[in-house]
This record gives sequence, C-alpha cells and structure tokens, in this order.
Amino acid sequence: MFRKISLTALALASAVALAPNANASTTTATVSFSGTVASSCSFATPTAGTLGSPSSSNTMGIGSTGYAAGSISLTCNTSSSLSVSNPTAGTSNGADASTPATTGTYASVTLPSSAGVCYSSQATSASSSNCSSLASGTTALGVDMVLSFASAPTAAAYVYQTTITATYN
Amino acid sequence: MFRKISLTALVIASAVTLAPNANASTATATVSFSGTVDSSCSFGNVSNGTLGAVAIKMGFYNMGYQAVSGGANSPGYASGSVPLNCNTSAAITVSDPTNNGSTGTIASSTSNTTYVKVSNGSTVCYSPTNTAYGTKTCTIDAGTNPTLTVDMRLDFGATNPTAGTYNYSTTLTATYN
Repeated sequence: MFRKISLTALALASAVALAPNANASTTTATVSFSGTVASSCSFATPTAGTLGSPSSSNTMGIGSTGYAAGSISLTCNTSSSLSVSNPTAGTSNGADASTPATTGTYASVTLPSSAGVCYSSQATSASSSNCSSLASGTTALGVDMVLSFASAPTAAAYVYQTTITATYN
Repeated sequence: MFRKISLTALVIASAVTLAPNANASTATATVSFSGTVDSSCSFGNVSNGTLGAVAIKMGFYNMGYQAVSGGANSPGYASGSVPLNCNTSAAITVSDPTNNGSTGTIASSTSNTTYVKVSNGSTVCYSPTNTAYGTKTCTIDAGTNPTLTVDMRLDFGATNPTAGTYNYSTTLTATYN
C-alpha cells in the first residue's frame, strides 16, 4: 500500500515539472544605431563654352554667331547657394587680345527649367533670382558669358573663364 | 550450595538478553520533494552600435554593416550587442530598423538591403524586410546565455543621402514557453 502512494506522488511531481506553459512569454531589448552624414557639394567636370564671333555691337558671347553655352553639374546632399564670378582672362589668352570693358562683361548661371539665373556682379542690367536656396540633389547648370568691348576687338584668341561657387552648411 | 544456584541463574539471564532475533523485519519510507522552475528569459545591458560613414556599393549608397563594395563595413562602423539569459529555449525575432528622430531622410521605398542581422556564432537571423538573406527567426538553446551581436545596414538607393544625423533602432524579441 505504501509503495503505491509513493509512486503516485512521484508521477504527479513529474507532471507538474514537465507541463508546458500554455501562454508563451516574451521579453524585448532595443538596440540603437546612429550615424552622421556630413554636408557636401561637388561639381562634375565642366563643359566649356564657345564665345563665337564678335557681334556688330562689339560683344562676344551670348548672341554671337557660333556661341555655345557651357555647362556643369552640381551635386549636394544639402541645400546650397550659388555665386558666379565676372569673367577673367585665361592663361592662353592671345597676346594681342583686346581687354573687355567692365560694363557689360559678365557671366551667368542658369538653373534647370528656367527656375532662375545667377549673374556676376557686373551684370547691371539683370538681377539674380533663386540662387540662394538650391535644393539638395544634382542640378544641371547652364553657364553663359558676355564680353563687351569698347570697340571692335583685335584679332586674337580670347579665352575667358568664370568661377562658380556653391556655399553650403 | 546457595552460591552455586545463584551463579547459574545469572548465566541464564545473560543468555536470554543477548540472543539474536531469528526473524528480522525492516520498515522503509520514501519522502519526495517537488518544485517548479518557471521559464524565464531576460536581456542584459544593451551596447548600442554606430552606423559609420556613407559608403557606395554597386552604385547604391549605404551606411552600416557590409555597406562598402566587397562586403566591408562602413568606415567607423561598430556592431551593437545584447546578452540574453534564458533557462529554456527561446525564439528570437528582430524588427526592421526604425527611425528614431533622424534629421536626415531615407527614401520610403527602401530596398531589401536595409536590414538588421542578429548573430551568435552559427546562429543567424535577419529582420523581415531582408528577403535576400537567411531565416527570420533564430532559436537559442536553454542555458547557452549568448551575447547576441546586432548589425544594421541602411540602404539609400542610388541617391546620395542628405546631410544630417541618422538614428535608427531595432527591437529584439525573445519568445519562450
């Protein structure tokens, strides 16, 4: 009789120990990651423009026969603003080349889809628009130039350049 | 004469007291004890990770684990980790990366290479979005008490990510019976 009681007790104990928990439990942990992307802007390799032949008004550049605008692509991961310098003589300018006048000699950068134009400081007849808040991403820019001479320029090679600056935070 | 009788009686009395019991009997009893150890799992202190710098892999911008072409991690990348202590087997699942107040933006149409990987030796599982890799649930054996390594990769697609801070987290869930 005693043995029977003893075995029954053992069997019950086993049943308690092995019974599965009907309700699954969970515990959680959260692991965080952080990183920083620094602001950056970069220009692609520019495509040079062509000044063309002097016009009857003694200008070279926009409106001249054979004129072709230059272009450059700007890629930024943050907003930026653009500025453009007045034309400066290049190193391979012809020795006999005439010097353009300050007035009317300028460079400009055109935003895509006619969204705006940024002029250099000597472009007194036009004002810049939408050059201070370019959105992040890649922007294709058109680059134009006008050289204005007091009289018909001498026969020479004319190589002028402009510097475009993107400013970002 | 009296002395002789007296000595004989003493000898008999001693013989009766010391004689062994020819039919021995025993009695036994078994006393049992039982107890229950409830199943439990708990995570230890979390060590957070660092995504590192942006890297380009096959024309896609990535940050974090295996972000660089060739399978290397982003420069400055560090894995996270968390210990798990279970007295029973447990199934581990891991959530996709969750944005926790990043100032930068990540495209909503993230590819399947934005994911979290959890590993402990040969045990590896991935967050659900990553359909290109292995299993989504790992099983931890009872009593192994592993320290789980947690890795994360953010995929920005072909677009250079905007400047800013990127804070992402993942939640590990251990389910046990």
